[in-house]
Amino acid sequence: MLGTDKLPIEETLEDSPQTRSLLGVFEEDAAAISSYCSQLYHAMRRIYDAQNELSAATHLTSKLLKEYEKQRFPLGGDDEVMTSTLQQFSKVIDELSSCHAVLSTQLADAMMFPISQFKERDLKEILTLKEIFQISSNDHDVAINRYSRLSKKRENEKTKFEATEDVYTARKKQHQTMMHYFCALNTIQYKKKIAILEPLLGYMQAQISFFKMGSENLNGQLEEFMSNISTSVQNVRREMDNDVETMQQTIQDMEVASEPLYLPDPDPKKLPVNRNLTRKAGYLNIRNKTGLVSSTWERQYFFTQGGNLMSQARGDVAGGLVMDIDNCSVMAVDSEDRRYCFQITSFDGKKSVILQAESRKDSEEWIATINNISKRIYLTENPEE
Amino acid sequence: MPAVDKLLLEEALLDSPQTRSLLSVFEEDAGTLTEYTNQLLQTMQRVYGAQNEMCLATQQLSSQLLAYEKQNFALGKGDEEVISTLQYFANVVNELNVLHTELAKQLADSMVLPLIQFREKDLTEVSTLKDLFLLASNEHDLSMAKYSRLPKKRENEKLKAEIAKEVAGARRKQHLSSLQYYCALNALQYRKRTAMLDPILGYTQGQIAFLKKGYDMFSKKMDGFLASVSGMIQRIQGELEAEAEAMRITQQELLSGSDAIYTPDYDASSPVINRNLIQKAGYLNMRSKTGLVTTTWERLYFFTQGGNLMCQHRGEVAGGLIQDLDNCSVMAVDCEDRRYCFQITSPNGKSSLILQAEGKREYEEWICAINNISRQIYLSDNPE
Repeated sequence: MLGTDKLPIEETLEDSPQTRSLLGVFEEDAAAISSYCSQLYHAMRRIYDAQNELSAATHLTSKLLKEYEKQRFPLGGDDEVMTSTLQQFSKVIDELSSCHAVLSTQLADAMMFPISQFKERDLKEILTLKEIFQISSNDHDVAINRYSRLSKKRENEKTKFEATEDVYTARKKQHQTMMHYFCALNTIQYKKKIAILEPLLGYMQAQISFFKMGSENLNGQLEEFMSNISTSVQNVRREMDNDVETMQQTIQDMEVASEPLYLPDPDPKKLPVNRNLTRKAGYLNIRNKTGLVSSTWERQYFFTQGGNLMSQARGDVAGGLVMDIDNCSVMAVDSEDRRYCFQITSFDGKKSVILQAESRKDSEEWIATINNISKRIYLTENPEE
Repeated sequence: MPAVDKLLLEEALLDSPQTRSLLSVFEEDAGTLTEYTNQLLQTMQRVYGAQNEMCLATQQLSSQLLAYEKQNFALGKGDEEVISTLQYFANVVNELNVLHTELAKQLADSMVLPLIQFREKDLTEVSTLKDLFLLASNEHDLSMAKYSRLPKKRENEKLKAEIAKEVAGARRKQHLSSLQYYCALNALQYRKRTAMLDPILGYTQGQIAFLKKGYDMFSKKMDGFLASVSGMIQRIQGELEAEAEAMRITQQELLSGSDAIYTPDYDASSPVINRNLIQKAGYLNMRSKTGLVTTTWERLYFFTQGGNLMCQHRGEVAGGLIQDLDNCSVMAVDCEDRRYCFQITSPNGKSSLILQAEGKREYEEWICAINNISRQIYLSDNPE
């Protein structure tokens, strides 16, 4: 390096306009350094903040992956492969996150610390010294002004002495602060180079050790795991594609096959009544008395279970007993001018329900089935479904 | 991986409460999945955002380093070395920026995008199908209620047929929409795995590639450079310390001199006067007339330059001519009861200047020096 520019400390006592002028150049330079360093500081601060945010976000990601198994998924709770895969990933991301954390710390120590020290300490010191110097320079001007006006007359020795003393003090103070100020400005010329290079060096070294640590920690162990996962994801996707295709095919087939089933009252000739059933399930309307003459009908799902008739509303998790149909009687009835109604009466005649089926066929099948059950046909060895 | 749970398509037509109950388990699962996906997406977007910010930050730093050259530093001794070092650093930061940018792009493509697609396409599809299914189910309930109330009488066959047809239509719609809904929910059980693993796989792969490239990039060439920078810093530090020490010694020397230098006119009683000066410089007060009877005194820096007397304000860059001293006369004067005043008058007597010195020695030396110059002694061969 070619050395640096210097303010001559020897010139401080004389304090000529030439020296002041040179001082002005150094002050201008210090202001330019200050402004550049403050921009550099912001650029570095931005990197530091981004790095911190990366650390935090990486850490959070790994935490969230660990939480997967704590999610209350009603399905696939026993999916251990998925859970262990995510755990392994979260371990990998944990390591990455700790590399990031180390990088953050190193950036704080080796990049942010020196530059903020320079900004907060050295550059601030210059400003403070500048102010102090200005004040002492003004003080000196005032003192010398008073001294210059001293009278020629011999009288008033005391005033003369005081004014001279004032100049002495002010001049000494100005000399000392100016020397300090010059020293600090000379020092800044070295420090500005260090202040810019040192944090950059720190940044680079931190990055290098980050890459080194990261690639050592992550490379070897992972390749196989990653390719396994990759294959497994592809397999799942293939399985899914197959399954979805099968399902879509099934849907198409069902669409065609179900067409005749949509009509609530199909032609009995096409769909013959099966009178040998010993169990049956399906939606029926049930009549509820709500008053002396008023009643409501409610659509519910009914099914037989052994000798019992059960019903289940749509939101219910399980069915409830409607009545015991062993030895009951069942017959078609007229009710409120509704079609396909039938009544079941318990063997002791104490309880009866009126139900409405969707169609003649359905109604006849329910009646036949309940009859079969009532006669305990379902207990025979070979009941027809 | 174990097989996934499934909703049975065959149960869709009967639509029994048991099937509905199973359906609601799948719906709950989809709900939990949606919530988890949203959290994961948020976190991953945060990672991506931070990565992006890192790109911008490195870019800013790199251009800030290049900007050093263009700063108008008033002093620039030894800057070439700093500039070339900073340029090198800027290049490295730039390469780092390229790596960060690649990583950010990869994170966008293979981490954030798949998850967004999963959310926007698959999860949204499930919730749309759910709405459609509920709508169809309600419609079927309504038309079924209407159908159930049809009278037994033979009359109005046409109405009966119409309503039966309506029920068939509603039932068909419900059946088809539930089939599609079941199918989507079943597929979601597969997607649950791929949708989680895909982005994490992308993330990890991106990171590994990033670390690898970074490692390669730095392992190649940086060691020598960094060592030289570190050497340079140490050298400057050394220079700084030496300089600081030198300055400290100078200060000490300057301060340890006689305190008398601070006192104006300290040697008034027995001044040691050099009468042979042919040049002199220092602060003097100068009298300016501001009106007929009013005057001001101003403290200015005066110095001789050849046969001229120059004066300079503190803020001025250079001095200005105030008086040609050739053949002028100079003498002590009384002025406004101030001490140590002297007057310089031009040869033709037309202009004159009254100045005040700080002390007796100064005052006499100025008069002698100006006298010497006025008599052109400074042109003689052997001036002091």
